[in-house]
Amino acid sequence: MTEQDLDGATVLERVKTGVNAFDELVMGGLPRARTTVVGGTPGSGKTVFATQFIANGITTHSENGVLVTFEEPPADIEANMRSFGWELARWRRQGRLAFVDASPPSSDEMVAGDFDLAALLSRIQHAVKTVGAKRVVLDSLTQLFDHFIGDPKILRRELFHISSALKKAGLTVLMTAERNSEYGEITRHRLEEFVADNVVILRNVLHREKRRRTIEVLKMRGSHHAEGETPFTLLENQGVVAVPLSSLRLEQQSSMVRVTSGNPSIDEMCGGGFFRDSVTLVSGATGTGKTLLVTNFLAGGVAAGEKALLFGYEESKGQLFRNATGWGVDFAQMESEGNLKIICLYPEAQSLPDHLLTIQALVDEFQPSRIAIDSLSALERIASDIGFREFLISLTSFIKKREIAGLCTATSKSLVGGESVSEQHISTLTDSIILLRYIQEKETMHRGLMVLKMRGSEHAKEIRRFTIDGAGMHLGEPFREAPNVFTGGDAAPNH
Amino acid sequence: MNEPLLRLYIAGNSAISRRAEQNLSRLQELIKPQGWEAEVVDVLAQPERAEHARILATPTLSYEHPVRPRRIVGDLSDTKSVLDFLGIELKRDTA
Repeated sequence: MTEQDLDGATVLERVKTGVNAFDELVMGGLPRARTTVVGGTPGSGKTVFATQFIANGITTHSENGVLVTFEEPPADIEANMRSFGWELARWRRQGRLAFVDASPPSSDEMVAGDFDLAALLSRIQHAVKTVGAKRVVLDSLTQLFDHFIGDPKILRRELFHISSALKKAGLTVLMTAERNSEYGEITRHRLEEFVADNVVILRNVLHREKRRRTIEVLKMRGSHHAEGETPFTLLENQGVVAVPLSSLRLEQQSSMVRVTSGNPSIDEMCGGGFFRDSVTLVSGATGTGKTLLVTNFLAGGVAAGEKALLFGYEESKGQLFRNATGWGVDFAQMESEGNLKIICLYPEAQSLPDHLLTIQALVDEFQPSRIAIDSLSALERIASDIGFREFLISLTSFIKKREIAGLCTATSKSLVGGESVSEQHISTLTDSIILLRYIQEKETMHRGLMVLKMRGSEHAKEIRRFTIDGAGMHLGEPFREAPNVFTGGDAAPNH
Repeated sequence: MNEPLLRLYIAGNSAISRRAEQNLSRLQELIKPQGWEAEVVDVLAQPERAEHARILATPTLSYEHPVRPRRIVGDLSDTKSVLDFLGIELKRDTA
């Protein structure tokens, strides 16, 4: 039954796909009793997406499904989808799922003259009736076109007929179709033109040796949808997990609660500490003390009774512990008391969207009050520019939404001054920026620290010199005549 | 009763199904002397049989040969090509 709103216009009821972020893009799910074509190149994840749609119906909405498979026999699909945690065989035995095996038969076949697909439709309707299905997947139509290669016109007519008949029965239909290229015509045989109310595109683009999977809603007849590509990843036991760029809505609350940076002098420079739900970027060349600042940040939080979480992408856990001990901080004890969690991963161990999901999952599990990422530059290595930017947007919005204090580091390439690439990306997305720089004075090299930006607060404008010893970081007097910290050029008065 | 060697899958009373049935009847006249049996299956009435035989299109004529099964999709209007495909040689006097 469709609902009626006050104007009498039909409001489309939504059917959740189980890909949460995707459902958000399409205002809650796919419209009920409509046909959606999912197009993608081979390996773009069409079958996974389609199976997830069926699996989600069965497991969470008590909506049984019918899977019409044109490519692989049902036994293969059951085996292939098991790694995503979908028990197709069990559901089939329980009468919650029915297959229509339309994979190529072994017999020789000849096509002569006109025909229709009444047998296929009749089989689908029979399967729908048998399990009381609400969702139907046809995967993939391209295979059907290859089967009846000489008669594309007949197939178009017949598929239109099948789609109409299933819709009339109130079924929500998802059909997959192959594409030849990532940015060419929508689908081979242009299926979307005659059969689809809605069109969704899955992409798997190789850009500068890095894979980037995205999902895009191209058309949603009669309703709104978000535009543009949303990154997604394929995960074991979960299937398609889309990564929403939710911060674009900018609806985070701004807290005025201050928390310590772990260093009283820096708190003072920041006007009393970092904000509770803010993200701070620490940028500096290698060896300037970024990891020390991270260590202080974590230890300061734990000392104040908070739980702290660190993701390290540059150094091993052992190294981090050793560093901390060298600065008088005992990470091992904090961890054994359950107030600190340190996760060290190789950036290359997984894709950037996967890293984001790992971070989100651990935050949900550990419930920290502060989180540090050391360093963003290491993560930047493994992604394309756009992929990295999306990661940053998602990460910062996630941190703020959870009202966690975040500290991220970025390594600048030149030793004196200069911006890191991460810094260019992230500077607009972070609330505060702290620069660590080597500063030359005559024959000696000093370290300098400055607070470049502090959203919503006054902050010290001078560049403070600092030293590092066995007790950590010590801030000293401001530089009188410092060189330009951005270009690393000759000594010039600070503006 | 002999097991039917030929099965014609049709969909109800559609024009194309009736045409295929008529064409099959003519064909049967030709091949009956050689002991060929035929059966008509309506997929609308018996969808589970279409499912079992994995029929997609109607009409489909299925030659249930144990070693080399063959199928013809279409209305069977071209008798000669049907016979060729099935590998049936007619005796000269009936051709």
